[in-house]
Amino acid sequence: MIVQARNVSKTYGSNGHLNKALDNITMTILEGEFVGLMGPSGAGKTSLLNIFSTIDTASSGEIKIMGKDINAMKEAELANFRRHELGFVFQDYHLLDTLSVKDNIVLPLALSGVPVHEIEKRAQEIAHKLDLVDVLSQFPYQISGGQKQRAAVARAMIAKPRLVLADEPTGALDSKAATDVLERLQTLNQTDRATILLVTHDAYAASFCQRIIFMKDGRFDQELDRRGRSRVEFFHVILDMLATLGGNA
Amino acid sequence: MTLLQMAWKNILHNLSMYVLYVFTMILAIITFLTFSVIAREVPSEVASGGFLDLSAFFTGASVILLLFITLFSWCCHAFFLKKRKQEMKLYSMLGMAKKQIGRMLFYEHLLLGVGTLVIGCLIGSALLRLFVMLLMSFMGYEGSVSVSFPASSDLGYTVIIFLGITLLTSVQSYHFSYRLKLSELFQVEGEKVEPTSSWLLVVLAFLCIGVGYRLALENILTSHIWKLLGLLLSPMVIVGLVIIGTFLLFHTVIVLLFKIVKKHKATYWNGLNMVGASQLLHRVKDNAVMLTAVAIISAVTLTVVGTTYASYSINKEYTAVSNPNSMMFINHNAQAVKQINQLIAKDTERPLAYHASVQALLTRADISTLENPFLGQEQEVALISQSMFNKLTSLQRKDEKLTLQGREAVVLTIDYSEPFGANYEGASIPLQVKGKNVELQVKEHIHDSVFNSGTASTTVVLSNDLFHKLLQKKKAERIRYELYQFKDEAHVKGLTEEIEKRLTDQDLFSSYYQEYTEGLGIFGLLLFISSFFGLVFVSAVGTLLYGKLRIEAENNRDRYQLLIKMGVTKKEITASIFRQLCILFSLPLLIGIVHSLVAMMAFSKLFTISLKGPMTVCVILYSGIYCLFFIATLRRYYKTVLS
Repeated sequence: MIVQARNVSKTYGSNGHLNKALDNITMTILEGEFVGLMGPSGAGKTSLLNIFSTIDTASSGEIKIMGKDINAMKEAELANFRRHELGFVFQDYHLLDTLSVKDNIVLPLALSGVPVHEIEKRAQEIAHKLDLVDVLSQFPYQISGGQKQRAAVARAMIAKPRLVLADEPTGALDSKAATDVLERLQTLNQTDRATILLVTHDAYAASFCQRIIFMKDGRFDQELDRRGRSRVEFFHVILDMLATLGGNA
Repeated sequence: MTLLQMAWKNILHNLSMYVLYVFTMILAIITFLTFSVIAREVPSEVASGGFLDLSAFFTGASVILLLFITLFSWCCHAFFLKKRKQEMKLYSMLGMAKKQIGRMLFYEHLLLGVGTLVIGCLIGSALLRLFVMLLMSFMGYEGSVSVSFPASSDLGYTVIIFLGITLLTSVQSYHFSYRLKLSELFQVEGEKVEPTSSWLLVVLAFLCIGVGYRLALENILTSHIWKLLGLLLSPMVIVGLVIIGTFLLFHTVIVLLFKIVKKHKATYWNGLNMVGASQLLHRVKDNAVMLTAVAIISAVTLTVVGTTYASYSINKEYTAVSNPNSMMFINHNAQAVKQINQLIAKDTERPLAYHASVQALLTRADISTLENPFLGQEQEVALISQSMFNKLTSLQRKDEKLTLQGREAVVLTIDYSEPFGANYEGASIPLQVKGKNVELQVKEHIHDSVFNSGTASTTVVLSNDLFHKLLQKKKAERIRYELYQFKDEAHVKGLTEEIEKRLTDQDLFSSYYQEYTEGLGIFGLLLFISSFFGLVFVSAVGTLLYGKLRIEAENNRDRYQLLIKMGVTKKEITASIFRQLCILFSLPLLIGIVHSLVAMMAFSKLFTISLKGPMTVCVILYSGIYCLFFIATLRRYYKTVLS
């Protein structure tokens, strides 16, 4: 079990003006799962993702990631935990523009003090998987959006984290580049047993997942499981679900 | 809300951005006001018996200050405007006309300038008395100070000048609004191309600085290049070469150094090193112009303050060397000398250590064999006998004793400047004693004298035989020097003035006391001016670095937030920022210090003064103040990036 959240709530604001972003959420993510998180704006997706990312804390409830209670950890411990166990992919890539693609990808390994020869080996490995070999020496401003996001995925995966958190990774991409990134995420999930939590608005992106959780007003609303359906079939199921939920996910 | 109100709100909102700029401008206003008051109010005779034109001095200093501060103000406003480009574009997007934005910016900078001016004038007026007292104490002036408040003309002058600068920057801001391109609004600021460099430029950088240094350290007298370029052009060539070299150094050498670090993966791929190094790499080249400016301004400040401080602090020692006697003059009038001796005898509060009456000969010496262009072909020298020299050295508690034979001679000179002075040792010099040449063999050249240099400059000691033989000649120009030494030569003001009244210009009166107070006046004045300059300069340099790095911190906020997400601790980030800022601040400072040390070496060669002590004090003080700006920038950077 990678993530285990029990009765997690999050409230913002001070006395009198409380805004409940998360209301009593309970969920689990198993090792090797590819889970999608959908919901309209303000449903609490980002709040939940921030709590799983350990950069924000829950107001109440219990969260265990890899069996560790992240509420009990101190700042330095959390940083160390993020460094070794979590990987991040963002909508707008967040590549460092002063570093080459290769340097961007190996950054997590450099931060963990991995020896140079090991860094080289893993960089080549991941670059092959994500088709980045040709652009390794380029700088972010020299490559396309799809390549940038593949580089960001490579960076998230290179340290072999137990959980990858992807926040709207295809939001800024055209459909071809988006498909490419999603297919590669799927492959990494299947071949490397990487556990992925994907937050998205987009039914097409969500259709690559095995399981989808729909959120509304800080609560879990519905859950869908792919259960052996093809991706295209699953896509239509998701669209139907969105239609019944009000369409505006 | 009117545009004026908006401008006011903007100032309050951006106060932390403006605060150091305002601080520097206030310093400049105070300095300007003080200079203007002193130039007019403080009587010229305070400074060295009126031979120095105080007001011209301060006017010159004020002009330099104004040029500098105008440039500084312009640069700072360019930063401010750059930082707020996005905000301005947003206003434009929301439908504000460019004219309105321009007017808002105009008001904003006008308000800022006027506010600064008012505060500066108030503080300047309040501190004026203190500054005048400081100047007086620097100059060793003991009289009371009447200046307590600036006259309206001084204030008016200051206000007009600084309003001019404010108007200039306000117009600059107004004009800025017309250069905004809305289409750029949603573009990410500047794509960062990795800087490149070539070894050829590195060689050129070192060549420029090396040649500049070499030229500066040449012996001015013997150097062919100095002869070729002339005394005026050579220093300009040196400064030009060093500035170009420094710029190239920042532009290329540092880029290449980082490339080397980058190749060494074990270091580069270690923690945040690659993040810090790559940022520095991009930054150093972007900022080459500014780093050069910081290095050069630091070098100029250190050299100027160091030289004036050194001159000030060695004034006493210098005066003592050039005036081995408290007083000395030529005895042309026995009656006057008699009166003077009575005067001294009556003054029991100022007892004499000795009084010597020295028989000497004046003659001209042919020194063409020395080939010194500064001394010419002929020189007037005073001749004394060996026994008189020995008598004087024992009176003056010096160790030198001479024994000379036949035509042997010893030359005594006090040299202020090594390259300009001549070396007489081993030379054979024909003396012209009324139509007859006497060839002297210079056995030794002592760079010290028994006479005050103001009364007798070059002195030649002869053997007793030769001296008396020359003295017997009918046409010999005999002369008598009167030498006095007081037990406490620093407190003989009234007596010195009384004595001088009884003498004429031809008597070449020289006194330790007069020369000491004159030196104190000139060097105290220079020290006062240069300290103010130093403060304004270091503050300007610190403000520029602060402003530039503040913008950068804001641009880099996202990347540090990303690193925190990726599991970098705040401690690691602060350590990385600390290292980067350390390099950015220390590089121009170090290069500035090295430049100034070389300049000081050149100066100390020129004026044979040791500058080690004063220079160390200046470097420590300057670095200390500079360090405060470093700390302020660092704190701001942490706050921007981590919150």
